[in-house]
Amino acid sequence: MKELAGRTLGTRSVSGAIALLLFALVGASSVVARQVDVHASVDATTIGTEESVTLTITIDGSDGSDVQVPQPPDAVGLILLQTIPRTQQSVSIINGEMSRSFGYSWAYRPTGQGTARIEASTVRVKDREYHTQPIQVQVVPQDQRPARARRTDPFAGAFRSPFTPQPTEPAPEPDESDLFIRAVPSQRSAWQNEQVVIEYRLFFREGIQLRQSRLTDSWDAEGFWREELEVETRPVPRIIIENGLRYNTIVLKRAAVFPTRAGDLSVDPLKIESEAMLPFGSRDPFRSLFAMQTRFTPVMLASPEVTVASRPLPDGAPDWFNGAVGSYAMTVKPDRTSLEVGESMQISVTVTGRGNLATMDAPILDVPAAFDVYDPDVSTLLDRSGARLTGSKTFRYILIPRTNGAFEIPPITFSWFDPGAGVYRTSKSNAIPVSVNGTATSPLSVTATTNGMPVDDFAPLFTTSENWVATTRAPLHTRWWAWSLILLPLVGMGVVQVWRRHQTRLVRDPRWARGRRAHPLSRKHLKQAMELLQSGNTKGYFEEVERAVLGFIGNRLDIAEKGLTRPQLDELLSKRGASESLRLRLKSLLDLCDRGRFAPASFSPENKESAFDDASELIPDLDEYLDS
Amino acid sequence: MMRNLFIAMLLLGATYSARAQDVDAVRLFDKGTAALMDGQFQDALRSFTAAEQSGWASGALFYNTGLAYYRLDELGQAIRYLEKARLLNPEDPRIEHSLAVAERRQRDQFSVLPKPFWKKAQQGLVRIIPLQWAFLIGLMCWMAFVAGWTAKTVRALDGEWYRRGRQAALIAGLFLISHAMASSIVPAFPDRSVVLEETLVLREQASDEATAILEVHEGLIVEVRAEATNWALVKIPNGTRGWVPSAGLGDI
Repeated sequence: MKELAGRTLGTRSVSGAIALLLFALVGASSVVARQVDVHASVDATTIGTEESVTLTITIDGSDGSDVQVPQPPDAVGLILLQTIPRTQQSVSIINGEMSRSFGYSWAYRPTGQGTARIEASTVRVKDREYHTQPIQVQVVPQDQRPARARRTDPFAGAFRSPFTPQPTEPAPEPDESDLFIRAVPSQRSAWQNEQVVIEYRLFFREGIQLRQSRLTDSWDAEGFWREELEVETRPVPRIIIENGLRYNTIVLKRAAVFPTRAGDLSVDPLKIESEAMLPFGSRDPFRSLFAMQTRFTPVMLASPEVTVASRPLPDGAPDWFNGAVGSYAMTVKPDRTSLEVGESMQISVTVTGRGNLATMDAPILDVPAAFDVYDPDVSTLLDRSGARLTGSKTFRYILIPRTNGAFEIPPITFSWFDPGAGVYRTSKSNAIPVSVNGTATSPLSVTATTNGMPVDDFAPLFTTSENWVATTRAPLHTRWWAWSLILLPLVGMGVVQVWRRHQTRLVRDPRWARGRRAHPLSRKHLKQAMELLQSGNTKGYFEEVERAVLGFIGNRLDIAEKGLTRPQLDELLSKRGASESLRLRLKSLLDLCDRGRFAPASFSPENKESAFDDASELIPDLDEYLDS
Repeated sequence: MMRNLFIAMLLLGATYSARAQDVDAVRLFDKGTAALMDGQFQDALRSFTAAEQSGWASGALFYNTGLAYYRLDELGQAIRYLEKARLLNPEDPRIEHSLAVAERRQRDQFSVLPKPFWKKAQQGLVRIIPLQWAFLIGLMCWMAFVAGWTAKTVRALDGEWYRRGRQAALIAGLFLISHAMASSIVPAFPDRSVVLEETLVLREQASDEATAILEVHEGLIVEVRAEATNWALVKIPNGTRGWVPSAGLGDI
């Protein structure tokens, strides 16, 4: 098996179609019906020195009746072997439409090695002249000619005896110029996610027959998202002159690919296997007829690999950009704008245009929190019949309001990258006002969590409120009463401690305890004295005054005051450093008390009270003196 | 004396725990709740705001306020009031659930800076024993210790169990009072605010001209570290600090 061009490849779908296409082409040497078209072609552009080349001028759209027989074109390096051209006519009926073509052929023989040239020719069809293009033919030594069907001098057989055994003629094999697949990308460089259309065309020379064609393996385009585009299931071959050779061509496959990442990305070749038969193996029609069964040669056809340079999208994408690249328009349509709580509404967002619709994400729908939003239902409608992939993608969002009120669905924004202009574009819808009626005292969620809470929604509201607190409360550490409550027990503990020590000293230190009691006892006696005076008991009054004074001195000096004579008392006070005036005041008070006890009638009420006053003044003076 | 001390403590506790319910606040709460049920969210918010401005608040009031904001699609305010509600009713499952729902709509997903162990302990304690209860119980323990000490001092009431009781009351009282006061001075939950604007830009300095650090979005809870005129220095959960306009924040 001979591989003509390229490498391995393949895809899934087109094998059947290709088989149909190629079998439909068997014997498809006819031309298509169209306007008059005149072109010249040769059967080979490289020949050996012992071979010949056939020039054919084909007039498409004519049956030859209105054609003036053209003159054979002049040639440089070639000798015309016949002046009268051979003619051929073909008629084909495709889809009920008939097409005709008419041709004239001349054979030329090289005069030597080098570049030969067949000049342009002029053909007159009806009243109009058509001109063909010149054709160059390379003449190489016979042993260096390309490996292909051996071309022999068509007139050589005329000088050979018919009884001479014919040499065995090997089956001719097609070469790269006879049969090939060409991959034509719409562009070699693209933005990431931009659509690139790759078209695979089969080129084959007139008269080539193919059979049992099939894809060898799957066609792949790693790094691309790919979408198949439609091709004709019964294609009509177009005739193309390429390098002076006449080819029929059909489209085998057309695919839209979208680079999903940046970098140089390759698309594998499209590869098919087939069996081909060339029409120019033998010029003997009888030999050709009987050798038909053995002259099909297995061939493998493969397109070249296609490389696309993918560029990353530029910076500055809008917030809403979600990877769409192409040319788009967006429409937003709600099915209703007034509904009851718990009912559903649908918002359809349709993006129409040309680009990577299949991989496009849903636009972000930012709805009020009162709505449940479910993942959109997505439907994509792709038109694969054109030269590029177009279509629309519709996102249907279901919204269910959980509560009543007047709401507004914010505008929906869709951004995409326009690869033609190289800029980001944004389309923004209008806001959708929605009126929800009815009452919802509890969430109307269709599902709930295990603890009874609604899924993806707030828990029910509180209908009552307890445990109110003041919002103006100052921090605890800034409140005086807090510190007071902490410190008050400490103060209490201090007081208790002081009181306890006082009580203990009273028990353990009698002298100190007596001194502490001096004042209270003297005040007690003076109080009793006043009561006696008011009751008219003068004698008792003076006794109590004397007891108050002497008792105070006894307690303060810790002595037994009873039994002390006046001189002893005076001496004792003198030893304690009491002044003479103080002692004289004490002596006169005590004398007054003695007189009062023994001669109470001699005292006026004023004199009686003066004793009380003297005692009240004397006791503090003595206390101060004795302390010092 | 012991009897008088216990009576004083009981009166103090009763006074502290008493929660006067302001009539106006309750009436406004009911009015707002009715409006909320009718779908009149703006009317509901007016009533709830008036109730709060009367000087009284409750977890239910804050929750319903947050719910009204959520229905109006104001995510930042919704999260703010739910956080306020959680402070008053820390264990309420409805508040926890709704807060989780709201936070799922928040766009920023920052990693959270780990807290020091003492902060975790403090927050855990505050959750178990709220500050005011810690102070009240601590005060009662403290007074119980003082009463026991006084009984021992005055009446010579002593013994092994009396001694242990006094020690336990002293330790518990000092600990709880210290915790309450410390948490009042250094709150377990620092001053937090919620981003109310759709986007806020953190800047290196308190100026619109300062270099931008990053952009945060509505509903993010930040700690307020310092404040200047019209600007606040905030710390976001991952520890990044920056200045933002104060008007774009709502305190919790």
